[in-house]
Amino acid sequence: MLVLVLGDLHIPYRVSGLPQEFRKLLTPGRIQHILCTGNLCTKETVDYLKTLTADVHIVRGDFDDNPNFVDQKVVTVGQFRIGLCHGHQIVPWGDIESLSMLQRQMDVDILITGHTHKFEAFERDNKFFINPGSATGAFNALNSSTIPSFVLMDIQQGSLTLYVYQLVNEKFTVERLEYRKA
Amino acid sequence: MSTSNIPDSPSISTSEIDTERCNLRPQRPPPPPPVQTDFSTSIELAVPSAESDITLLITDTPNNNVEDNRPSLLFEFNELFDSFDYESVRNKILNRQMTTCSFTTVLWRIFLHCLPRSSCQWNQIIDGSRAEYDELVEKYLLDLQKIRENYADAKHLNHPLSQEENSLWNQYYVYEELKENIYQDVIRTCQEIKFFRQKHVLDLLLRVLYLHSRHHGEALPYRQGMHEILAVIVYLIHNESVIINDYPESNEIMKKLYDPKYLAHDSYAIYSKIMDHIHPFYDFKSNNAIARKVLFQRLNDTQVQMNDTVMRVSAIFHRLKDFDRPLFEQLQELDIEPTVYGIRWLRLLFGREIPFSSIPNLWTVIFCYDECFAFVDFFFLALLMEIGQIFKKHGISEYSFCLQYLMQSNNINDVESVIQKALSLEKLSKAKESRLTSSYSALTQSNRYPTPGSSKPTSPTQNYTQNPMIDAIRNSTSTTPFILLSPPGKINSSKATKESEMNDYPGKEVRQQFETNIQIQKYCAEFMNKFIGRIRNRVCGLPDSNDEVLIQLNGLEQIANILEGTLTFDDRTLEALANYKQKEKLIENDNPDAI
Repeated sequence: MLVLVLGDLHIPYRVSGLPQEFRKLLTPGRIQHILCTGNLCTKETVDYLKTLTADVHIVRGDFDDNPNFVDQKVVTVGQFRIGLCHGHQIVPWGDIESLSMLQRQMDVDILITGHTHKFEAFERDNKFFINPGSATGAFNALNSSTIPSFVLMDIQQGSLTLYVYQLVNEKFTVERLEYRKA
Repeated sequence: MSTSNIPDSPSISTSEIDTERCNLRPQRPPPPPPVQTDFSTSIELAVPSAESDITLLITDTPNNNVEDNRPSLLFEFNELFDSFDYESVRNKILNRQMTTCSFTTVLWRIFLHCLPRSSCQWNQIIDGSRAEYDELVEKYLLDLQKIRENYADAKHLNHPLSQEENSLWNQYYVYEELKENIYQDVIRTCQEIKFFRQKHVLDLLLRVLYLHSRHHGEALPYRQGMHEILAVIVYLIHNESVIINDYPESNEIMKKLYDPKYLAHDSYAIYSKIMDHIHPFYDFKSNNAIARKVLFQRLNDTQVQMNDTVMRVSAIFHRLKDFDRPLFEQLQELDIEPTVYGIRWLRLLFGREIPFSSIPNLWTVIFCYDECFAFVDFFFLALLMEIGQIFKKHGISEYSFCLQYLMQSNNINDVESVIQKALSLEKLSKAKESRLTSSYSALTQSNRYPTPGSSKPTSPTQNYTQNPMIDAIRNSTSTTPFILLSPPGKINSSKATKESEMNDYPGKEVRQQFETNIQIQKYCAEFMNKFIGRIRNRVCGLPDSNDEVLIQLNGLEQIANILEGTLTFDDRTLEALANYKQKEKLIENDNPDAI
C-alpha cells in the first residue's frame, strides 16, 4: 500500500508549481492514498492531487482558501493509526515535546505535520513523527531557502517503509527509512 | 490414498466431477477388446448427438457400473503407450476408429512434441519441462516482497515511483497492467462451467497466460482468445487427472503424468506448443508487401486489412469453390467476407463453434493430422458446408440471417460427422493433388522445362504453411477444369466416379494440357510478382528513385496479376491496352531516336 505524504505547496503564491522532476515521478495508478498537510493553497492543486488517486485527505493550513478542510484528521492504513495536522497550531513550531503531546492527544502511531518546510522523520516512545517538508520548496517565515521534498510510505501490515524524495541541485535523491510497530 | 496425494487439488465433490467428465467425452468408441471404459455415464449423451456414427451403436452395452471401468484404464494406458506406434494411432484417429481416449492430453503432448514417443524417457522429459516452467515463474513473477528487499542493490533505481525501465518497481507496475488485461478475459472464461468459477483456477489461468506473454515478449503478446485455448487444456488435464488419481491401480508414470501439483506446468507446456502454431492467427499487423499489392485490386477488396491471417482465411474460403460451388457463390453474392467469421474460427481453433465437450475430440485430430495444423483448413470447409446445409434446410438466403448463423456459436451439435466430412474432403483434395503433381512433373521432365522447385515432391500440407495463397491457387486451378466440364452438382460426388469420368472422357489429353498450361501460367505469375517486388525494393532503395521505372514495374505487375487470375481479363483491360498503344505512339513521336 503506497501512501503519498506531502504538503506546504503554496501554489501559486510562493511558487508556480511542483518541480518537473517530482511531476514525472507522480503518475496515476501507483499511489493508493494521499495525505496532505495543507497549504496547497488553491482548488487547482487539490484537483491535481485527485488525478493521482481518488483517496485524498487534506487538513487545513494557515493559507488554505477552502474553509471546509478540518484542522486534524486520523486515517487508518493497515495496522497504523495515522494523525494528520498542518502544524501552525503547535507552538513552538515543530517542537518535539509539543508534537508528542499532540500525538498522545490524537492517540496515533504516526503523526504527520508540516509547516516548517523542513523534512524530518524520527521515532520517539515507539511512535513515529514525519514532516514531509515542502513539496515545491516554497520559502517560509523563518527560512528563505528550502529543499523541496515529499515522502512516500509503503505500508505492510505492521511495518512501514519510508521513501524520502528530495530535490538537491535539480536532482532528486531517494532515502529509505524503516519503522516497525511494536 | 489419491486424495492425500493431491494436497492442492480443488475441492470438488465426486459427483460433480463425474458429470463434468462425461460432458467432456460424450462419444465413446467401440471398445478395444477388453477395454470397458465409463460408458455408463457417456452413452446417453453420445447417442442423440451422433446418429451417423455407426461405430457407436456397437457400444450399446449399458451394463457397466463404476467398478467395471477401473481396470480398463491401466490396460488402455499400457496398450497405448507401452510401445507407442505413432502411425497406427494416427491412422486410428484419422479413420475415426479411436474417437476418445482417457489419456487425450498425453496424446496431445506426444503429437505436439512435448513428450517423446517412447515412454521410457518420459520421466526425465516431464521433470525437465516442469523445471522450465518453474524457472519462468522465478524469472517473471515479481514478488513485491522481494522487490523491497532488493533495495540495497540499486539505490536510485529501486523506489516505488521509479520510471526507469530496468527498475524492478517500474517493471512490477508495467506488468500489473498486463495482468489486469489478462484477468479481464480470464474472469469471463467459460463461466457456465463450475470449474472455472474457482478462484485458484482463475489464478492459474492468469499465471500461465502472463508467463507465456512475458516469456515471448513483443513477438507474441497476449491477445484476447488465447485464454479460451488455455481453458480447454487446463480443464481437460484436470478432469483426466481426477480420474487417474482416483483410480487405485494407476502406475507410477500415470501418476507422474497427471500429478495435480503440476497442472499449471503441464498446461503451460501444451499451451505454448499450440501457440507456436496458431500465433500467426493472432497477428494484427498488416503485411506491407501484400498491402502494396492491394493497390491493383478492386476497390472493395482493399477494405479488409491484409495480413497473413486474412490471406489464409480467404485462401481456405476459395477452396470451397471446389467442394460446394453453390454455397461459395451464395456467400460471394451476399458479400459476406470470410474473415468476419473465419478469423474467430481459426483463433479459437473452433472452440466457440462446437460444444465445449467436443473440442478435445476435434483438437486430437488437428494435432495428429500433421505438424502445421493443416487439418484446420478442412474442418473449416466442412463446418462451412455444414452451416450451408442449415441454410438450405431452412431456406435461408438473406444476408442478416446467414451472417447470424455463421457468427452464432455452438450451432453444430454433431461434431463427429463434421470431422468425418472434413476427413473426406482431405482425401478428395489429396487425390486431386497427387494426380496433378504427377502429370505436372511428367510434363516438366519431358520438356526439360526449367522450373526450380517444382520438381520437389512436396506434400500439399507442407507447402501450405509456406504460402497458403499459392497453395490455394494451385488447388483451385487444379479443379477449375472439372468445374468447367462438369455440372456443379457433380463436384461433390465421390472421388471414384470422378476419376472414372475423367478416364472415360475423350478429351483427356487436351484437358491435361490445359491444366498444365494453367499451372505454368500461375507459376510464371508467382515468380514474376516476386521478381518485380525485388526490383521495386531495389529501385525504391536508390537515392533518386526513378518514377518512370516504377510505373513500368506497376504495369508489369498488372500483367502478372492478370496471369495469376487476381485481375480479370475483361473489357477494361482491353481498354487499357488501347490507351497504352496510343500513349506509346506519343512517346515514339516525342523522341524518335528512342527504340
